[in-house]
Amino acid sequence: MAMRITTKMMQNTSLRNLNINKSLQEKLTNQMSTGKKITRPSDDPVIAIRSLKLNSSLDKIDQYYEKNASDAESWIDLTMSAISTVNKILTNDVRNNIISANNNYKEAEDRKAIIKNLQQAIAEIYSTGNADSAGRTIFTGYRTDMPLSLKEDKTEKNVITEQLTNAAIDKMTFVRTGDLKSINEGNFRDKDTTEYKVNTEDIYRFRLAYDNVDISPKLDPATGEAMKDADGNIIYESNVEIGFMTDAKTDGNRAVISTSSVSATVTIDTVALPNEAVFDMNIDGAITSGVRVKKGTSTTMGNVTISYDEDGTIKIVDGNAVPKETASIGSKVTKDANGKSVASFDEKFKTSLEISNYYPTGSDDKAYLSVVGEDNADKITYIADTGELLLGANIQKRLSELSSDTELRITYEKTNWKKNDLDPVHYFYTERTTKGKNGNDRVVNYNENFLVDPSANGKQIIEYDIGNNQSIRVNTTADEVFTHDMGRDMHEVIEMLNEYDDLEGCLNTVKDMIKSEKYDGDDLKKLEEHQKAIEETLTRVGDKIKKRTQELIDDCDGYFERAQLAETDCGSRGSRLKLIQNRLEMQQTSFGELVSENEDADYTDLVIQLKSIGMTYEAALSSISYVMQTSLLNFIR
Amino acid sequence: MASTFMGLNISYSGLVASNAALNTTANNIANVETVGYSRQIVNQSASAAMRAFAGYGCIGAGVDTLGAERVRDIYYDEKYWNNNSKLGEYDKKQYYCAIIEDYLRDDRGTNEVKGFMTIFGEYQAAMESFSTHTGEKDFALEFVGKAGNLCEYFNILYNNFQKMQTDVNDEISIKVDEINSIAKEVTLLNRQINMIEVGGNTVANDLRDKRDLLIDQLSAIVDVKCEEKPITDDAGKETGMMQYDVSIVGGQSLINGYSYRQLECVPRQSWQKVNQNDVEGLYDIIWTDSGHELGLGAKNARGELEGLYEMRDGNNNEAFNGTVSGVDVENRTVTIKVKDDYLKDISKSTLPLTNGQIVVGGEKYYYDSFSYEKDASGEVSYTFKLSEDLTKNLTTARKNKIGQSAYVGEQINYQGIPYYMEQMNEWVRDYAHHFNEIYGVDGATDFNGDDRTGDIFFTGDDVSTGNQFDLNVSLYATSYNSVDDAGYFKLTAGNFNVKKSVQNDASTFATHTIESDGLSKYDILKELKDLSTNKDKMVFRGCDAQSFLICLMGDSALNAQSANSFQEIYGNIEESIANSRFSISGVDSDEEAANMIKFQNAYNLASKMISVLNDCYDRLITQTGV
Repeated sequence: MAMRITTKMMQNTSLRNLNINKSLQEKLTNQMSTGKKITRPSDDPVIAIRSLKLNSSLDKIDQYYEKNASDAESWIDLTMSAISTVNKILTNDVRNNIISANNNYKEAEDRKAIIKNLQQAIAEIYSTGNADSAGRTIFTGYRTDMPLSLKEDKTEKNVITEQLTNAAIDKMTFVRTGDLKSINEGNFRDKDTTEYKVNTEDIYRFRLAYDNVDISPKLDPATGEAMKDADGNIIYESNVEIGFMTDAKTDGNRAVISTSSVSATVTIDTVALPNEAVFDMNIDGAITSGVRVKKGTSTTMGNVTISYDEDGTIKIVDGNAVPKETASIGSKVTKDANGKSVASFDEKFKTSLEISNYYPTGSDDKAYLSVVGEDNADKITYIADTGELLLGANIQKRLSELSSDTELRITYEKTNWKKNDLDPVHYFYTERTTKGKNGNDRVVNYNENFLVDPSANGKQIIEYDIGNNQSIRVNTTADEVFTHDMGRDMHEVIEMLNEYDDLEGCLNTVKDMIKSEKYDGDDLKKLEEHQKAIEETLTRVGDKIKKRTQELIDDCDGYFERAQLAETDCGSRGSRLKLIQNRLEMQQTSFGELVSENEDADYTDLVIQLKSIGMTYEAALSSISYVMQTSLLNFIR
Repeated sequence: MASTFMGLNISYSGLVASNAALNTTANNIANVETVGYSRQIVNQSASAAMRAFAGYGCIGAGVDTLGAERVRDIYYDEKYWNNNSKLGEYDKKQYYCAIIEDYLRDDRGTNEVKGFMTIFGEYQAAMESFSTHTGEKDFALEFVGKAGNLCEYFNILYNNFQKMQTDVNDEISIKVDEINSIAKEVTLLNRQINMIEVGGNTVANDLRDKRDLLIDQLSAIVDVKCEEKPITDDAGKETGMMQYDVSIVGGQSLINGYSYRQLECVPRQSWQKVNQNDVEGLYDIIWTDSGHELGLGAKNARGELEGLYEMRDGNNNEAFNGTVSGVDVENRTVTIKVKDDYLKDISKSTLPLTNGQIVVGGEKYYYDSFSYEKDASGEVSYTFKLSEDLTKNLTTARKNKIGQSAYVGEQINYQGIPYYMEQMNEWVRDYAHHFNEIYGVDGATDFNGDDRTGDIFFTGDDVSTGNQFDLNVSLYATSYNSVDDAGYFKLTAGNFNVKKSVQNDASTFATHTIESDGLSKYDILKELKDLSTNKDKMVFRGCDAQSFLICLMGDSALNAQSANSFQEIYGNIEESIANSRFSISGVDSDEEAANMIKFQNAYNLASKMISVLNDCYDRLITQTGV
């Protein structure tokens, strides 16, 4: 038998069905009014979660496309225009003027013009290096708050370490002029022409990155007065060091270091002998084992001194070698993961050669002559105002024989800085003494990592993210475009032209004196000898200018090529960026579509559904009204 | 032979029967809209026939009206109650899950609601812009501001969850009151029903309907079991009275005939917490008479109360538990070795840091603090310092507890409010920890060139002191004390904040290592950026850091979806059982209309019979033989 159905049941069921219908309608109208497929995550967790993910991806693309990529674009554009300015100056001003020097050095007017032009060109190139993007200098890597070249003169002690190879040794021509330059009516009789045999010497040298480096008179510790040599000349000194790096064959707490006559194995045993270094020495074949040196002390064995400094540096000063050699290596005592002390050594040790002579200026022939000749073959001379290290023949030979990848380190100090000097912190390991916040001197070390890993030299690369795991380099670092050599080369041209100028001045003085007919006899003869000597010198200096400028034109082409390479690199990054921007734009659109596809409601579909539900709704309403209204009572009379 | 006047009696009995039927029909019609009313029918049977000692044998003696009785099937009632409890549970879960969904909302477009994904997205964008403009102060300011927003988002979310816990707790108290009042009413009805039914002839139809309706209501709140058995007298004879018993929550007696038990909500004191994130004053439900807990944790417990309880305390089966490995009677400490991975991970810890309760070998103790120890082999043990306050602990745990189990809070296999709070805390702790590790790296330098080695950026506000935590105990620490140390275990989504000094001066934000390398170096920022998306740097439930909301929204959406679908299923079942009940007990107006006519006719006929007989007697007495 069929189930008993009461009126109430029918009413309830109908009402419930009506309610289901209504809730469907509500859902659809909600979708219509919000335009979204779901109103709460539980409607469809898959859509909800996918929507979160897609929207977050879209946000990232927006950030990459609208912010990062356009920031990168403006940075790269700025860099490009700065480099092309440099290139223009290099070709139009620098190169042309050096060619002009090569051709027209004999003309006083031309010399003047060339000197002026070159001075301007250097200033312009180096100040172009200070280009900035919204206040951030663009060629200085992470140091966007520091200009590339100094904006004003200043006095600040910087200890600069240049890391080079023996390829940096360069041969210069030195024209020996004696004291001809100072000739005048008063002193010409005293000058002995035979003394200044005019001749030309080839001298090997390192040209430092800077001129006007530090030097000071050596003071007598007893009197506090400047010391003088036998001829009564003041003796100078400076903190300069030249050395080369050698593999220390380290093995845990042990390292082998050597000089010409000494070989030593150094051990730091943190367990048995903490705070001591133990040396096994071999001095010219004589073996002494187990020499113990306490931290902060030193021991002397004949001409050899070994020491263990407070900062952990271990040194062997070899007095037997000519020139005197110092081998040094850094050591460290650290705690390992288990709290045990362990000693370790740097991988390389440095062999420093003693500097023989210090000259404040190169205008004195003595400075250059100090490395000329067999007697001076083991000498190294430091000239402060020209910023040069001259090498005797043996030293040059010794350094040239080192393998071409052996690192040479030259450390020197510079305190006086001129406007447009390149700031060394962008190029070298530099210890700079500045004023700290409390007004006290404070030493800041720049680029310590260069010492550990010379290959990392100067690369402070700024990269912007412009995609997932995709970034683009936006900056060009100073070393790719701006070099110290540029300025030094141009200065050399200027100096040579000045030298020529000076000599020409002397020649004119002598000529005038002869012309004045005031002199006769021996005087005249002397003057004529002088004239001959000066003319000879002028020819030689002229030859030097001719030869050197020819080299410098090649150098200049090198700088141009270098800058152009940087420009090309920058340009290719720019075009890569354009491509990526293009792709990001496409991604933005397609992700937008995905988001919409995932979560946006389909109106056509909705309208049809709503219509059909509306019809069901009306049908339900009329059936309920029928059920509710009629009952048997209606028919009982 | 039969009595001459017998016909009159027979007719009268018909008249009475029809009258009763008509009245019952009238009652049915009158109660057609009464909730819980069962239709009644009049039971009647033919009276015992009389031997007439005549050739035609027996003669019918009319009709006996036995009484009106409701039409009801207890089988459907039980089914209804059973289902109603489940429906009640999911009703509550559905309601609160929808609220959780709203809290975790993150919508774009016209109805924008900024949720985690949006806020974290803005924070990431600010970090990205900062890294392309490192060294520019306004970008630092923007970033620090967005980081503050992120913290605030968590603070608000945490507070919302706490507020919701308070609401659920209040509702629990209301439901307990309802149980108490229903128990009282049912007991009263038991007494009245028996008074009417004693002797066994009458049925208290309307009172029974009323009682069943009350049980309907009770079944929505808790699972119920009803039993009715006859009361016998000393001789073992049935008295017609019935003993009506009701038990709830897995068979615990609530009503026993004329007596009932009461439940009581006892708020937990501030030193009786079982979860670090719980609000104060959560109710424990106990039986007033025995003091025992109601035990909603029982497996078969159902109903709204269960739904509320799971929502309030549901910890996804991740409560503290372990085995006692040591007891120090003198110092009042208990050491407990734990096995579960979630107890070995500081970021997942939900133990109250102070003033918690712990059950050791079946006995409840209150502790002042605890310390955490991880040995070299990775075994973890917790040592609880039991309070010496006599109002808290009368005695301390003895050595005989060693080897027994201990727990703090019950294992509740539902993702309720505590679960979400734990998840928030876990993310906040993990993220803050990894962020700070990168941020305070050796040589970290800020805008001003000042060293920030070991500094932290994200921290928490210490409400009790007004300072911020040092967070000096790493997430990977092998030991800490919950009071003496200020590690990441103190950080919650509620107190999460950016370090004040950086908030006040964004230029103290560390962006890179090695001061001399320059202002625009962004190595720290780069690592920090990576932290959001690199799973090697931070994993949250197998996903990267930015997927926090995806995980949590997934939980809440699935919980809500399951609550919705169960609610719908049990709703449908309820509908169909209710229909079945209606089918049997419901009043049908058509049927009653028909009955009305039917019984009217029967009445009319019976009365006609009397007048016919009256005529017969008239003929016999006044005209026959006269």
